[in-house]
Amino acid sequence: MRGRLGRRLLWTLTTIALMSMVAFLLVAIAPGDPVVAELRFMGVPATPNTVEALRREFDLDAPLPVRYARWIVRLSRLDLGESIASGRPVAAELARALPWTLQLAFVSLVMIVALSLSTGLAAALHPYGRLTTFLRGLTIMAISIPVYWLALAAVGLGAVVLGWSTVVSDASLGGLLLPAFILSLAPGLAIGRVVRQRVIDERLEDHVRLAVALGRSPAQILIQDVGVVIGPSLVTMWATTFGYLLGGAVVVERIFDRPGLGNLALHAIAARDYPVLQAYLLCAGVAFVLVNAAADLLSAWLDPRLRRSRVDD
Amino acid sequence: MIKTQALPPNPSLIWGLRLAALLLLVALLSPSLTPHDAYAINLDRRLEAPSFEYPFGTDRLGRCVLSRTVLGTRASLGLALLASAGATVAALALSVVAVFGGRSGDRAVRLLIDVFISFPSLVLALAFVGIAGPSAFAAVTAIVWAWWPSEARVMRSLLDSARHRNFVDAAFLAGVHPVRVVVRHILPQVGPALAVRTSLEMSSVIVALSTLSFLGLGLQPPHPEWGTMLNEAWPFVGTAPHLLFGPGLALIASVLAFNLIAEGLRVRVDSRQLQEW
Repeated sequence: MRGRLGRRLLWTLTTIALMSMVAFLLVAIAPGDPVVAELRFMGVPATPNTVEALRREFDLDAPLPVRYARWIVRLSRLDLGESIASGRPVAAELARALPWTLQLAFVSLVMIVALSLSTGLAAALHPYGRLTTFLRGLTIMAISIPVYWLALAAVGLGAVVLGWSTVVSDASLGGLLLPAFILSLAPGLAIGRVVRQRVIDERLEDHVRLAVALGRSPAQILIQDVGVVIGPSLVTMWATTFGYLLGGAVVVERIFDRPGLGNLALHAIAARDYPVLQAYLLCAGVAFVLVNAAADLLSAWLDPRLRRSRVDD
Repeated sequence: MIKTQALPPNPSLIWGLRLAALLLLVALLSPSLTPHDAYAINLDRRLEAPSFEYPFGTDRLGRCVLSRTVLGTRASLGLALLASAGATVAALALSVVAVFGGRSGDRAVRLLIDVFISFPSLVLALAFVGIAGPSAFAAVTAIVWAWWPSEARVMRSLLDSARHRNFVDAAFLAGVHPVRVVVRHILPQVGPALAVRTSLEMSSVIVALSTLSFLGLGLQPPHPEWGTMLNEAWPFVGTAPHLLFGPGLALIASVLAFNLIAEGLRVRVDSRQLQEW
């Protein structure tokens, strides 16, 4: 177990290091001269003198590897540069937006877990019943509707039927639960189908039939005999939806006007604010990697076979 | 023990293919199918509700929503097809390098996949468009960059297991030309699974591209595209919610078509596997 943990941690750090390289290169080889853009933004005419001065200030006169090394050193002090649009430190902007997105993503994640377990188990109770057919149709429909269309329809419906004047976004509970539900619908139902399949498959296994023969209660069998086997892979699957949630958050935050990471990125795109965009890419990527690493460790810990293998490692 | 038998009826596949064929037909014939000029602005008749003259209503500039939806089929599906094909070709090329390029080739490709797959795909696409500047070309390129890793991961493992079957080794040892081995012995093994994968990819690419357009980062107005149309409809969802209907219906039908095809093909692949092993 400990060797496994170490290897996983090392791999996570390697991935993050390589991702930082991608984020750095994306901006470093971007088309258009950032110096000229910055001068235009400041309203200063771009003469050779001003360009040269700013180039030195932005550290753009050094070769690429040197610039990457310096960027990493600054990054390690949480210095992500300054936003071109607002002039404030990028780290501060990120810190302000991140909680909004994490809150949305985690509430959605909880809804995905609840939705997939409830629909999956309900369908597994009657494997070929009407409910299963209905859920199958509903799932295909849900994964075919783009998140932003669903969000727009919800807003439109709210305005026409319920008479909302504006989409209330602030810290109110409804402003969090509705977007979270919209985000969780498709992945929740899709994973529900997997839950159903895994439970049905597992029911035919010898160890479950033995448990039935021993006279254990259905709830006991579901948790102790079926849940233990399929639990770890479900944890991994739930964690992978986190990337989908970070992507979907962009649209939902935009429509429901939540000042999260996605909205930050959209503002940065509009203002050609490369430092903020770079930080956004890195931050979302690292968050996704960390959640997946945590899920891997959790599922390894949940799996008795892996938990006991600590002697071998 | 392989017997030829009639395949069971497969409504998902049949309806998916029908829907896709219909959309393709609309895309090809779209200029002659529009009841009105899709670009004609009529400020006297802004934001009208659906009527016989304008079945999907009119938008904020008085343009016919039905005509714009029909004409938008070309851009929406055409760009998605382009992006999807780009990602598939890139993934296939890299998978071939991984499987036939020796140990170092495999290691390099796997590292590349692992790094790029670690970014949430829409986030990566968004950052790319943000840096490149919004345009249809940038959106397609961004989708290719963000979508190839997950395709390549599946293709690499499919090709890898197909390559290590005994009859493939036998063909190589018998001196069959490598290209012939790939075409005759490897591709037929992965074909069905690849078809499922490509169909699912197409549906997710349609959604992603239209999401970028919806955010104003894809095809630019005044060209009709479903995501762009929904972006223009957004400020009026409270007063003219019918604007969501036309482009939404077309969008959902397209995504549904490819999801149904994938669903139907998956049953085929599974039953094939059950027969073979």
